[in-house]
Amino acid sequence: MGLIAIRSIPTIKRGTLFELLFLAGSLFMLFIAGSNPVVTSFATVFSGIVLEALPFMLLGSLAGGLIEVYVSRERLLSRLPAKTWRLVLVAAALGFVCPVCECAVVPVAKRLLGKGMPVPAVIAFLLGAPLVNPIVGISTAVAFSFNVPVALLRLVSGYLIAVAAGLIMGRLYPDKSSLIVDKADTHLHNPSCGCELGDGYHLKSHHSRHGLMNAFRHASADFIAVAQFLVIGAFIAALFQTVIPRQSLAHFTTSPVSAILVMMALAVALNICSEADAFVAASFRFVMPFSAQFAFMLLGPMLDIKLVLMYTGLFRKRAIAMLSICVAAMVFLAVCSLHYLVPKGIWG
Amino acid sequence: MGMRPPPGIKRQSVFTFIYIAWWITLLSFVLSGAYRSFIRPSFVVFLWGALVILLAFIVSGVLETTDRRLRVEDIARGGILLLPLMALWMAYGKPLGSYAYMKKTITAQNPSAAMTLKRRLNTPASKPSAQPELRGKSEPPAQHELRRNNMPAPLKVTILDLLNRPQEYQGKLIAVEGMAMRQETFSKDANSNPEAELPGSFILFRFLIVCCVADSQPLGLIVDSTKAESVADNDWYRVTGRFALNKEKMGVISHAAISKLETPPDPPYLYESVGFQPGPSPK
Repeated sequence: MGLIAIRSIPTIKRGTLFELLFLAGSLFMLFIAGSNPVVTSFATVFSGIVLEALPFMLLGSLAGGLIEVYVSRERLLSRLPAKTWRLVLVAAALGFVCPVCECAVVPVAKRLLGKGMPVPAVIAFLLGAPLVNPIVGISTAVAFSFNVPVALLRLVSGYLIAVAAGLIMGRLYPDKSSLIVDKADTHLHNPSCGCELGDGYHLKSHHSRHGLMNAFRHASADFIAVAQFLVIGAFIAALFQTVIPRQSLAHFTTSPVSAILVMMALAVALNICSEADAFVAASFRFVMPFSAQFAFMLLGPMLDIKLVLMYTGLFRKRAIAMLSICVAAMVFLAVCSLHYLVPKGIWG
Repeated sequence: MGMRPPPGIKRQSVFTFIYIAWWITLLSFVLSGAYRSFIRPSFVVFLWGALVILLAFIVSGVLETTDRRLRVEDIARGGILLLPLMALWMAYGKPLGSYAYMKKTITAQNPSAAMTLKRRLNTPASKPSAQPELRGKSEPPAQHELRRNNMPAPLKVTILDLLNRPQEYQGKLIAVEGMAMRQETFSKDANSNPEAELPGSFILFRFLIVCCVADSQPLGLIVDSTKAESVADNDWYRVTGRFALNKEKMGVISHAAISKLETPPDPPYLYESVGFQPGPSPK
């Protein structure tokens, strides 16, 4: 009888179990310790991150839905360079034409992937667009007292790392199926789409409705698929911001390498928007060397907690780990080179 | 693999309900102005855009008839999407306070995050010709000055004005608003600077924001007042007194008159902008 009872309990995916546990823990924290000033401060920061990111993520989802409905695979591929490396060079700089933040870029990248854009180009777009764009350039220059070389250095370094990461990942994972998750590999599973709306939806209604309404449905499905990762990432980032005193970072500034590593870790943990992170980096001017501040600005838009979680809707876990290591290593090497090879005083 | 949901409930119905909850919350925060406790006011245009897109999602969800049934993972996702709404209502009307100030202050010389900002904006560090005596007898208290008819009215400035252009306000009579943090609270911080912890003083602070509270930076001044003992953490005050930089290059308002604000400034934060908005020029 007992065995039968156990077998009758439905199995739950590991990811869903994690989400349920996260939900239960979060509710416990918010309700049980609600009046505590620490929790109030946490709730304010958490809400702020989500409130700021939400419009951009909705916009990104809408752009993805419009691409899905109005841009055919053939039309997209016919307008892109044929050679992958050329496409990577273009994709990493797309932020200049269409400046998007890291919250908006994932749904768009998912749709581009579904339309047949090569994976190295999609990775270059994912990493490059939030960093290599005019808004980030201007905000960086302003944050560093209108120091244009700092802004240019950031954009150029970000572009080169995005291109290199795209090409390396393409070389490491020549087989597309070993890199991306099934849901993202849309055209293989469903010739027209690949969203999570379900087969019934596609069979009965996908092509029978108004195009704009279809775009909204796809956008909504994309948003639901990715928004949970934004919330979880924002939650963890707010926890870091609330609990860890920034003064404690001063203990790690004994050597440039440790300062760079600490600021890289901080960039991953804080999840600050790429348009604002230069101001936070500059506020560390009298605590950290410039190279450490630069590491913070370079890594944050490419790799942070919420981005890694959102990548799980696109790439396999092993590929995400490899991409994270690849990006972090390149940022570390680039910034160490800057620190040890460029004479001090040049960057202000 | 999925647990059987109650019959009849469709996945899209649940998410449409969540969209409606988000839409109502966002609209109420936009209309009431409460969003300004979380993001900079000019970002309201993005929130209006979000409301329009959410409305489109709601309409498409209501018209949807062919969606699949609800599964356990949908319930988990839906619950996670509702979490920020709970946090928003919890934090309603509660801007960042002294706890966040202590956690976000960077250097050992509290409240020198403000000085970091000043130098970042490339304002030359002010070198006062004479170090102000925080408790000197040569200068009459500001309270007494205000009672005299021939004294100029204090310049109404923000903490950002003072820290961006300290040399312009050096020795001037100013009035500034901010949140208070008592020295006892401040002293709990192991890295605080003992020199800043003068008896009869407290910290007046506000947060500077670029985009949202996640990137907020603390700006603080030391206020020297005989009524320092009466201030309470996280209450808002207007402080009137002489401004100067002390030898640690920290902003100090000496011999200050303080008055509690019944309604906090709206919005509660200060905002970074290209070519920040200058305060009134000191006479």
